[in-house]
Amino acid sequence: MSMPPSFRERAAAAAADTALHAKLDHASLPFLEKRAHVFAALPDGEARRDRAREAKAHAIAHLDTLLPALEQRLIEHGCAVHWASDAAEACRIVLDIAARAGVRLVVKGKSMVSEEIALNASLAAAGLEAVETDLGEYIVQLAGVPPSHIITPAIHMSQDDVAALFATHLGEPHHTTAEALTAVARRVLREKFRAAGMGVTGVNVASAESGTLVVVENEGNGRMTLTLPRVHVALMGIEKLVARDDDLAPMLEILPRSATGQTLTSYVSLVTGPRRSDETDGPDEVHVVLLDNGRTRVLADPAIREALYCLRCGACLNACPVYRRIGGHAYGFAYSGPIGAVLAPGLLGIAQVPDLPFASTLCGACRDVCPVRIDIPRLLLTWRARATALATTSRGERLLVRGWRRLAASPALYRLLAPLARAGSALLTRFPALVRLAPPLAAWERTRALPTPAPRSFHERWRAGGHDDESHAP
Amino acid sequence: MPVATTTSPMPREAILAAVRAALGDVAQTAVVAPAAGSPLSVAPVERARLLAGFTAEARAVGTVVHAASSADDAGRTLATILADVAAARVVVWPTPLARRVAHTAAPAGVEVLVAAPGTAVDAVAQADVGVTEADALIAASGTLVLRAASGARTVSLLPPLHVAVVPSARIVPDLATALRAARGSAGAPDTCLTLISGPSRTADIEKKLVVGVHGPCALHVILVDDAEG
Repeated sequence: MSMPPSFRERAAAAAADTALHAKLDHASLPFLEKRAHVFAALPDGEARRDRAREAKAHAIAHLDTLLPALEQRLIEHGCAVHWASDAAEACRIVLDIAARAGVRLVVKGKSMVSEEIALNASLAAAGLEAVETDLGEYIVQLAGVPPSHIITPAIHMSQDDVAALFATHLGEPHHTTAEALTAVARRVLREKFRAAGMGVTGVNVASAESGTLVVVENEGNGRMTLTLPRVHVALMGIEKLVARDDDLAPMLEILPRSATGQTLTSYVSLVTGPRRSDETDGPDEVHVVLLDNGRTRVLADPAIREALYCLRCGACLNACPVYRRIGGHAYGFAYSGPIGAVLAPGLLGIAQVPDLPFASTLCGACRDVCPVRIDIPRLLLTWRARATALATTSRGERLLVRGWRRLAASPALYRLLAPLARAGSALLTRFPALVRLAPPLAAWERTRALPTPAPRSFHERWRAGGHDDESHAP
Repeated sequence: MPVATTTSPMPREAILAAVRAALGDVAQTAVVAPAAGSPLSVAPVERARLLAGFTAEARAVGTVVHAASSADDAGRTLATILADVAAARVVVWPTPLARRVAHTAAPAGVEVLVAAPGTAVDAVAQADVGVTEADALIAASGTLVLRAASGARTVSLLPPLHVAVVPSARIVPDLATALRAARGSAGAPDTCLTLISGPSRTADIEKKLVVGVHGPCALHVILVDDAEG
């Protein structure tokens, strides 16, 4: 599937796709409702969010000592630890491990880092078969598209779409229930789990104190991936750790609640190393890949640094009115939604994605639901200022904003021109076709209705003492 | 089985140097670690209340919870479960309680395999039921804690039905307590500690809840009051 090259074009196409909107709402809104419900039922829920934020802030501020501490613990447990500066290096490390172990088939647990580094493409180019095993990831892999949501990757597809996909790729009859489709995936992927020489997972959080890697999931595919193949490779961004084991419970208490509204996911695996000789099963080798790929650049940027607290729960996507109208693919990056619009310029550079920080109404819903209270609107504003400084916005727009600044800073000028603007918008409300004569307004109006101006301005009502405010009328 | 660290030192040093440089401005700012311990943990309360909490939370996520007065009673409960699914093969952890309950339960003709080092994964995969003995129960979330040192990880993963037998004295109030207890009980850390809350599930297709994706389709817990009895 080919996508339009620019964010604006992708967003415009998605904004016109009403079927997509229905699917996005159907998937996002119940998550939000359940999230609100479980947080309300959690004693000291707000204090627990503060506690989790403190743990992340502390870890990020001490990465210089915590990363070597984590490495040392993991090596003591018999893990191999690899460091990757960028995506290419990370992929090469995984390929080297696979080559040395003679691996042909790789099963994958859900990992956003592996999407970020495009590991599947690297494995395929090296002639290895890589199979996604999370049901949603498996579906989007068969469909040949990237995931469209951090938590529910196939959010943009209907059950009928999946049935058609399984019919085409797996020779299945056209199944009509989610149960039947899930049973097909169970059967097909069981064989893959048994045959795979390597399992690749992400890491949701790691404790530097004991060298523990935590993998959170619901389907059991994560457990299969980190238990059955002879080699387990865990990919993690260098920001994914906390200092102490006592910080793990606060993270696990808020992550599933924020992501899916669950008290805890069906499965949480806390891995420290390969199978011991007196154990029946588990991998013989555990490799941990610590990935930078732009994270140290975000770390070096105090105005943006708190983006590294992100747990990848997806709550800000569900809460975002812009995400719910354009979906994950429009963002053109592994991480979408409000946090994606902050991380993409941080990891890739603002010059690469100057439009993304503008994909927000700054309503603050993302900040309200963020389990670690990342001030996403403030980060977006920071990126906007930088994008503007790069002069990626049009000359006309910059002139317009400069004019507005002049106008708004001068009461006399404002008083003079405000009635004119009101008369103008009243005219446009009466004769909407006139909008098409002003191209920037026309672009704005395509997806919005022009507001009807109030009969009296706020200034006029204020001068009158506010007593005749019509909204207060009985 | 340790494997040698294979990374060239270059990216490691480069990344750590970048991290140190990036944190230049925080070195002076004391970022205070959150208080040690878990001040938010609930105070220990009596076991019966915790068990009631566990039962409610576990049922809410689809776990079937049974109560048994003794190991023999647990065996009778397991016998009913095995009969319900017409189990022909049972794979069981080597712990004394799990074995005793499984052997009490299995009628003649039902094969009971004790999973131990050397047991083939395929043998576990072919079982109809996996029987484990949970190392702890978490009341706040209806969760089982299983240590890799106690038994094979695949027994709670590959068979379509997982039955965990557990002395009810192993109940703890919350996750923080469970993790601290698991850490304190072992010399070397567990290679894998698994937390299980309900059967395997997904909602990836149109948000429809489907139980039994890759892991077990059903999870039963038998709480044993007096495990010695």
